[in-house]
Order: sequence, then C-alpha cells, then structure tokens
Amino acid sequence: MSFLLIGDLSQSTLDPAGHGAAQIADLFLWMLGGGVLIWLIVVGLAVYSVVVPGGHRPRLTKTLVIGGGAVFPTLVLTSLLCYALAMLPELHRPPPEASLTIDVSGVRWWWRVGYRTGENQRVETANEIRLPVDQPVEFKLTSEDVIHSFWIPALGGKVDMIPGRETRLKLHPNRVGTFRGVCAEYCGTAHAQMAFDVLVMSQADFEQWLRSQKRDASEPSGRAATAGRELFHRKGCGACHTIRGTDAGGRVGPDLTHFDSRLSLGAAIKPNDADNLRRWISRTHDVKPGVQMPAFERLNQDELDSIVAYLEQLN
Amino acid sequence: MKDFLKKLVLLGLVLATIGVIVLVSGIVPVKASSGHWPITRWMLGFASDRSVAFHSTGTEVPSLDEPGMLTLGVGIYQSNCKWCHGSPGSPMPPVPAAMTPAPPYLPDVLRDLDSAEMFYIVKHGIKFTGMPAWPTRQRDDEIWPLVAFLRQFSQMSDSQYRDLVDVDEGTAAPEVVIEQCAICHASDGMGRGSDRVPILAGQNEVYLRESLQAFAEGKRYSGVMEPIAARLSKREMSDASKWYASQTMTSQGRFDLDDESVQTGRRLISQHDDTLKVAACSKCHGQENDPSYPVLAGQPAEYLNRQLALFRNRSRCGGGSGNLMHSIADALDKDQSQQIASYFASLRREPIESDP
Repeated sequence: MSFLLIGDLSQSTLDPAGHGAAQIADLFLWMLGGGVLIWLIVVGLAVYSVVVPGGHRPRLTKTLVIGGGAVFPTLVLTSLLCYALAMLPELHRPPPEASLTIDVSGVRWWWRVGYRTGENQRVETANEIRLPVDQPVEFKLTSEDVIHSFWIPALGGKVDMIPGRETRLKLHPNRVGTFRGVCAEYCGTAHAQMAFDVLVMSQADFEQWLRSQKRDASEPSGRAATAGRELFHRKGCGACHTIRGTDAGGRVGPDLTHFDSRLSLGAAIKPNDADNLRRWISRTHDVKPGVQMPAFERLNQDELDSIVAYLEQLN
Repeated sequence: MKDFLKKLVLLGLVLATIGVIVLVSGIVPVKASSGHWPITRWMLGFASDRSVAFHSTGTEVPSLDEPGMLTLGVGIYQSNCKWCHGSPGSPMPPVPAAMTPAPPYLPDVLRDLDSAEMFYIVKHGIKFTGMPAWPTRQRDDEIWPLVAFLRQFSQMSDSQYRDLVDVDEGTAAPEVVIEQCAICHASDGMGRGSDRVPILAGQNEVYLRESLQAFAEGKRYSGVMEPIAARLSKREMSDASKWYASQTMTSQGRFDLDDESVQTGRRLISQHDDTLKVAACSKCHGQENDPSYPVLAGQPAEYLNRQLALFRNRSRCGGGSGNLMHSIADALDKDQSQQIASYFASLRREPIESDP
C-alpha cells in the first residue's frame, strides 16, 4: 500500500495542487507560448531570408528585421515580465495571522519538522509534512548545517534554507493528495536522498492527525515489542532519537515518537515497512551512503526483529 | 675498439656463468653461525644508519616527559622488545645473540640515535635484520612512550627496571592476568600509574572479551595488544575478562583534573544542550547499558581523549560497535574531546556487584 503511495507521489510543477504552484504553472505555460512565438518568428524570418532567392526589397527587409527581430520580442517579453511581476506580491504576502505555522530545518540529510501547537508548544516529527487542504500555511525555514533548499514542486516555489537565518514560505494547497518534496540545493553526499512526503488532507483528518501526534508514544504490546523497547534503550538509540514519553530524548536524529505513522523512512527514500526498516538499521550505509546514523551491524536477527516490532508500534 | 668491446662482452658472459653456477650449486652458506665479514657488517650498518637518518628527518617529536609515558613505555618494552634486546642492566639474552646480524646491545647504539630515529626504527623495522615493523601502522601513539623509555634505557639499573615491571603475584588473579596483562594493567585492573592505559577493574566483561577478540583478529589496532591477544586462547580471554570485570575500581580521582574543563564537558554531553549535535554519551556509556559497550566513568582522561582521536582518524574500530563512535568523534573538536574526557574521568563509579 505504502509502496503504491510512494510510486504515485507527484513531484511535478505542471500538476499543481496549490495556489502558488498553479500560478507558477500558468506563468510557465504563458512563457512557453511567448517563447515559442518569438522563436517561430525569428527563425522563420531567418529561414525566409536565406531560402527566398534573388534580392529583397530594402524597405520590407528593414521592417521585417526591426519588427520581427526586435519590436515583437520586446513586446512579448515585456508583457510576460509584467505578468510575472504582478504575481510576486501575492506569492510573497504573508499568510493571515493565526495561520498554521510549521518550522522546518534542513539537516544533512533529512528534515526536522515542528508544528507550533500553542504558546511555546511544538510537536516534532521528521521527513513528513501534513497539511490541511484550502488553508494557507507558513513555513519558517532554517538549516542546522549547510545551505539546503525546501521545495514541494506541486505546491509552490522553492526557498533556500540558510544556516543562521530564518527564511519563510507561504503555501496554500487546494487539492487533497500525497506529494513529494525535495532538497533543491546540493548539500553533500546524500543530497539526492533528502526528500520528504507531503500529505494534504481534509481539515478534519488533519486535526485528528495533529492530535495523535501530540500524544506521547504508545506503550508497546507483545513480547517482541517490549523487548524491542528495552533493546532500543540498552543499545543507546535514545542518545540520538527522541521517543516522547520514554527516556529517549536525543536531538541528533529524527524524532521517532510516531514513527510508524510515517509513509517512508530514511528521508523518503524507502517505503516504511519491516523489511526496509530492518535493512535500514543493520545496513544503513548501503541504503543511504553518507548518512550520519551508524549501522548497527552486530544486532542479531532476534534483536533486529524486536527493535523493528517496537518501532512498528509507534503509530 | 671493436675488439675491446668483444672482450668486454665475453668477460661479462663468463662472470655471469660463474654467478649462475655459484647460485644454483648452493655453495654459498646462508648460515647465521658464521656471522658477516667485517666489511659486510660495516657496509650494512653504514647504509642502514644513513637511511634511518635520512627518512626520520622532519618527524615531529611530541613531548616525551608527559606523565605516564615512561611507565607505559616500560610495559611495552617488556612485552614486545626484551626478548631480543634484553633488559637494562642485564647482559644480552643468548638466543637472539646468535642471530646474524645480532640485535644490538641497546646502550651501545641508543646514544647515537635521536628520538625521531628511534621512532622510525621502531615503527618501520629494518630490512634484512630481525627487527620487525610495528605490528600496526595505525598507532604511532604507542611508539612514543617506548621512545621515552629508550631515552632512559642506558641510565636505568636492573633494580629500577624490575620495580617498574615486576607484578604482584600474591593475588588470586588467574595466571594469564599475571603473565600477560598485569605489566600494564596491574593484577587488580587499576593500572600502574600511566594515564594512557585504561582501568580494567569493573569494566563490562562482554566488552573486555570482545575487545580481546577484536585485537586478536586485527580488527582493533594496537602494536601491543594485538600480539598479546593473538597468543591467548578463548579460555584465557574469558578468564582475564571475568577477572577484571569482577574487580572494583578503587582510588578514583588520582588524575589531576581541570575543574573548568570538567564542567564544560558535563554541559557538552548533557543531551539538552542543543548547540552540540552529538549523541548523549551517557546513553551508551552509563552502567546500565549494553554490556558490549564500555563503562567510562573514572577512566583516565588522557586515555579517553586518545581514543576519541583514534576514532576520529578511523584508527579504532573494535568489537563490532566501534563504528558507532566514528560520526560522534567527527563532530567533536580537540577541546571538546578533552573536556568530555575530563568529565568522564571525574565521575566516581558506584561499586557494582560482580556477576554471581
């Protein structure tokens, strides 16, 4: 199921699912049309001048060269420029007060995502962003190491994430669906494997999801999962990962409190299922070369299964 | 002219034929018992001195009088070198003396060597002699303590040397501990005063056993520990690990600690400090974690800091979990490593019950 979802993820600017993206897609199509028109006329005239034999009338030549080569392109490009500039204020206008605000920071090579749920309250997740449909959302973007760039092609433009600075991006999704976001600025070895899932949901679904994210992690049930939790702590996983409601409070890697509710793992590079998770934990660097998480090669099959069982109950 | 060339070629052919006959017939003795001709001995010695002097140029010599250097150097000498070179104040051992060339009587040669040359010889060994290279290329830090000791070698008396290496045999420790480990780690696991040597008393048994295994298989690098571990049987490894794990860490706090760096270290590793994106040390190195991870409380700061440097250079892997430390060590600069090491060194360890 989740595999199908990932296979269907739209990452196309030409299939917009948000106001910004729709405007950008329109602009692209108009520019394409204008560009094609200019190209046809300029190249057509050039071909005409070569192909038609004999002398050309100087007066007509002058009109065609100046009119078709300079005046026409200038007119088309100027109107396109005006059209594009007219879009900017709306794209840049901050969303209304009290809109949903999401903090996203780029970390080599994943995304830390925080939902502001109240005064000084934040719910953290990673590599997955869920949004309510037909609501403006503001992203506050930072980086914890190098320059990244935050881009959800189906929803809008991209904005750089710069260390030591906060940049902003407003998006306004208008279609329910699952999309893919990527890092659009080369940031090192695993740059190409730094993506995230974006789920646009109905307001009610979104609120329900956010409520469930606010909760602490659920208690494991069953022998394997209970052993898995014990092992998770004994092996020191909590030094880097947080699971709210337990001793694990590390801030180096992604928050795993509701890990199993996510579609994918490893910054949206693999569907989140038991096989992939097992491989991720034990052969991390084969799955994602360069990743900061060390591979836990020496876990035996039982231990691996227990940890996976535990993580799969963190929904 | 043409005639002369012809003669030259002929002469060459004759000599080559004689050479082949000598070689194939086996008439030349390779026996060590007769030694070298004086001219050969001089020639080889001269060539080797020149080569060592040339190649050791530019080696940066660290401070050799730091605490713990000499003590560790003596231990290393005792376990790796004395078989061929004898010990201070005693005559050459007879077996290596029958080698060709025989290992030199050290007081005779050491005065002509500077520290960089000693380091070069110990690290790389010398071809066509019995002098082997250091068993690993990754641990220059083990060679300098030995150099520190070699600089004192000529002035040291037999009894001074014995004071440094003799181990207390009056304990219940297994034989392997007394014979192999106690020279550096002492039979109670508290070490013999070198802060470059880990305290083994009360360490996790699994960690100790896996470390020995890793040394024996060459997965963890050490010119000292690899040869020792390689000659231990599984049983001996297990006995030694069990013994040290059952000992109690005593007399803690014997290493001078700079309080400020201890405090900074404490702040650095508390996991709520968001400025340092490093896994919280205590999540793996406390006393309730996986027994294949070492407990660090009370270990000498110098030793811990050195291990972080080894992890940073990828000169330490270890018993399968060593890779976990690589990205952590990469994220720490030298000062931070020092501060974190000081913090762990300052921790007191609660005595833990030994396994029933």
